[in-house]
Amino acid sequence: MSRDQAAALAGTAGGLLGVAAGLTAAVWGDRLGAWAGDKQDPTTLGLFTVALSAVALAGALLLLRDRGAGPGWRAAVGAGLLLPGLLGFTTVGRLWWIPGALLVLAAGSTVCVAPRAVGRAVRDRWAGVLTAALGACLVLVAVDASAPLVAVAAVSGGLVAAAPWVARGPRRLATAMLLAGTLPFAALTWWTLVTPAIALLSLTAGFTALRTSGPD
Amino acid sequence: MLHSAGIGALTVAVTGTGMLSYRAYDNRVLGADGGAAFDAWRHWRDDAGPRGVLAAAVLAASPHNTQPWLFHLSGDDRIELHADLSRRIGSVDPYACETHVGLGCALENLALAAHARGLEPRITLRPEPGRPSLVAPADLTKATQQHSPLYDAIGYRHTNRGPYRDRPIDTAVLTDLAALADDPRASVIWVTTRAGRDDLGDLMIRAARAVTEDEQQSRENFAWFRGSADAIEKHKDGLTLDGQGLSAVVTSAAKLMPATSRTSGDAFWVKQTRTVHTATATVYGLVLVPDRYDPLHQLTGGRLLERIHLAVTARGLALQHMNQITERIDRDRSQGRDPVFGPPLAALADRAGGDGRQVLAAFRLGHPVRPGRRSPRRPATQVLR
Ligand SMILES: Cc1cc2nc3c(=O)[nH]c(=O)nc-3n(C[C@H](O)[C@H](O)[C@H](O)COP(=O)(O)O)c2cc1C
Repeated sequence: MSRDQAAALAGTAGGLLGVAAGLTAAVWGDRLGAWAGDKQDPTTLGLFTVALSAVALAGALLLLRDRGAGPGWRAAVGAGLLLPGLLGFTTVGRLWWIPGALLVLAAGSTVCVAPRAVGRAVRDRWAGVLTAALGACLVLVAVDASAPLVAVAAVSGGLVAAAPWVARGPRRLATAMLLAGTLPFAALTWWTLVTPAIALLSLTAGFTALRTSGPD
Repeated sequence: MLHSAGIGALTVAVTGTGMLSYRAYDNRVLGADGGAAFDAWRHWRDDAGPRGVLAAAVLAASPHNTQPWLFHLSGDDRIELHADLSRRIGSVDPYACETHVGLGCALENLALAAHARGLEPRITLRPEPGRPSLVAPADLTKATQQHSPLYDAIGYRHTNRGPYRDRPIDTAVLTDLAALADDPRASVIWVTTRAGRDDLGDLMIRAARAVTEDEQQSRENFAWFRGSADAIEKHKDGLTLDGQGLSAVVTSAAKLMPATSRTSGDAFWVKQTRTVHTATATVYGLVLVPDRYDPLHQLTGGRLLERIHLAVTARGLALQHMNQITERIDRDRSQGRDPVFGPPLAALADRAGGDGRQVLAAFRLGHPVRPGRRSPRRPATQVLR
């Protein structure tokens, strides 16, 4: 069995167990206490965990399908396994111990096939990675807000996170995505102080990413 | 070289912003009242039966939002209101005066909600002298439905601690509000003159300072402050940053900063009392009773206080309870000390037409600059025994 196959297997098992852990927390979280992390709202967090696990599962399946693709792709799949793997520890308590460990293992194994090349790929697109992280911040800030605001934040965060990665297409599209993802939401919620700060940094990081990403 | 320094700085900035974002999420800078601790405000009209009566009762005002109540429901025709004296604020309320005023507030909401459901509540105050925790049984009988603007106001009545506009309140409005007193044991008088307001405001500032300088009172006040979204969701009671009447920007900044200590919270309160609460009070109201230490008078005064607050809300005006003076009077009395604040308050009340009756509770009224905000509540199911 190749390392990628082993990683895909661990990722698939972690993803499936993660879905089960999320569903368990969503349905029985109230009664499970510390096993489900003693959360105020285990239902929402359980469903969020199911979504995280689905992302990891998709990463694992991609790994199985596209074995041997380039380091950029490998870095993306590694992140798709690692981030859900780590985030889950904060959402469903002890239920995540096994799926979390499997996903972290799978991510490590994915990257370890070509660690230097993956490291270089990440370094080359670091401004893009930072922009994507800021997109996630926009969503995080609004998680508890009213439904319309959550929707605006989700679209804004998605636009910001995706902008650096469409740079291969026309620059104007990426620029428009950055502006549309930052300005309206920041204007709508300026009084939070945080969203204007995220917007400002997103524009800085985003334009740096666009400037430094040469044509592939 | 320059490029990598720039990327390094960006990385540090993004890490900091990430941490700030987590703090904003954790302390609910957005969606402050979206959690389960505020569900009681969203669902209080859902139940058309007696449980719906309780859902309205728990939205009443109470000292420091202690919600010192428990309810028993016997069948569909009897609700008992009990005092939960474990929720009394120690040295701040040594004689449980404020506790009983809060219970009176709940009783008023209960009565309005019963009428709105076509039920006539026959309320007996403290029917068993040997059982002080039984505050008021209400026997419910069928009657014609009475919908009132006061009932409608239950869901948007809030204590508003923000600034009020420099705009007088019509004398006719004050007369109408005073006419809401329907029990001879409790009445309200108004302090409207510049001199009267200055004197009362000055007394309030001095009393606030005295509370903060009394370590036990300060600690027992602070115990009811919920400084994080987690604490609010866990306890579903107490005072919050969102309830302080600050502007949205200042509230956000306060939530992003580390939690306040007791002493800085005290200093903030004294400053707000001086620069906002007393500085922008248009009118003060004083609820008077013959004996402020008689629980029946406290309950009756509490009902009147809540009725006034609801009527004020229905008119788009704002109200803030301000009871630090009486808290100091009770504290001195409980310690066997000479009363510092008693004589000046009594003199002030008499000048405003108090007629020798005692001040049970004080509040300010005005046209609000910004609306009041919801405070957390334990849902009716949590206080039903
Ligand atoms: C008897 C009593 C005393 C109170 N004293 C004060 C006070 O001195 N200062 C203040 O800001 N609020 C005071 N309040 C208001 C409560 O803190 C408030 O009712 C509680 O936090 C719930 O918030 P809400 O009224 O907005 O629903 C008092 C309320 C009652 C019933």
